[in-house]
Amino acid sequence: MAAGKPVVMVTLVSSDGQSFQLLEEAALLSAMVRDTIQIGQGRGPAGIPIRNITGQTLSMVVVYCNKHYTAAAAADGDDAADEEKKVANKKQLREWDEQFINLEQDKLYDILVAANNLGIDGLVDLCCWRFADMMKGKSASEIRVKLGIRDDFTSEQRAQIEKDSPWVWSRTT
Amino acid sequence: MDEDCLVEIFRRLPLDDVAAAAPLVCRSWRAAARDPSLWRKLELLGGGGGGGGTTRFMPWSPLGVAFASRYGVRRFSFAGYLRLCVARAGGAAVELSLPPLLGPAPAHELDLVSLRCPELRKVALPALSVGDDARLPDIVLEPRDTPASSNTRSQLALASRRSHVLTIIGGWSFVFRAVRATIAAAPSPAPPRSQWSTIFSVVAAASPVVVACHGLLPPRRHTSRVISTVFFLAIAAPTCCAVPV
Repeated sequence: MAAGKPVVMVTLVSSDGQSFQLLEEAALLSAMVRDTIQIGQGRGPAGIPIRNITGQTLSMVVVYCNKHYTAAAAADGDDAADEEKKVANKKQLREWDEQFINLEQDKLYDILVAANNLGIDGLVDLCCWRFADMMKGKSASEIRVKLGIRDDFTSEQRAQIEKDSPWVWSRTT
Repeated sequence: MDEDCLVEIFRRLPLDDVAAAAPLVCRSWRAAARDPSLWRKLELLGGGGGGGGTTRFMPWSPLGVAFASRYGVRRFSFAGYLRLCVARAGGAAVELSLPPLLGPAPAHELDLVSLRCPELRKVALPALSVGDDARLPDIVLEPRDTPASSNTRSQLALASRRSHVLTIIGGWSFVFRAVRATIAAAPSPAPPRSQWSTIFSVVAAASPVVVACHGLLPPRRHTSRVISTVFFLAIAAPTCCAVPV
């Protein structure tokens, strides 16, 4: 980090009234925060209200932002550093990500929705990969059990699915 | 869950799961799995599940069994699966890699691709018979019924097994004669070595066709002939040529 740069903090306020302070630069990972600050809001003591995201979820998001901001700042700081170190740091961050996202699906879902609303691309990507890993190679009923999804097809729709099966496109000759 | 979020998740899921499992989970998943953007890159190489090169589309493969039990598909075939993928893509498929075996009548599959996938930029093809080879210009060159935009580039990667490498070059000379040909080496994503030992990439704009050879590994006794053919083409109509062998 460049010396002498003033440290600016922003406050994010969750829907249940908890507030989280973090470096503005870390918060800027979120497109939504970026937009808010760009139009000249959010720097005041009232902070930025984050609707629809509870304190529990927001705290995780803040942890993610802090970690990724420090990692990026460290990588910037020693740009002359050798390749090997950079690769090692990247690997470390990836391992951290994996640990971080190793959550039950309810929490994971909350974080995905939060990351999507806040516009944090990296975190959306991470959550999506985690969900995809949960589904990979599973049948529909296994996925339903694993993710607690209700089967809302009516019996007519089920029959329709069979009729619609891709093989209607198949050659008859 | 938001449809946007679901589509993003499905984008990170193998194509076979998006085709066979996701649409049957619930209504919103079914809608999300039909999003054409999920079907733009159709990776249909034959391997998969750690099996050999052609096992993925056999009726007894995990995919075939899944279709049989979940959709009531009686005879799973690659042709049917290709049709499904092409239909889902709704003409927006950009990349397509085909397996070594296209089924009993590869001509049907090639015609389907050339008619229904006007946006294709990159195709990886298996070794084809001379007759089927002649259909390739339909895929490479702008299809007749779509307006050819001058900056559109189609990239065609022609993958073949070793023994067919010369046949394919012979087939392609048709294309070379039809349009001004340029040979260039493409910085390539390395092709999977197991089945696709030779890859020719043809980047075709409306008029000039760029032929890129990479990963060119023909059988040793043919190597010199392949290289001389490539150089001949390079001299005939070319701006640059590089043959990494």
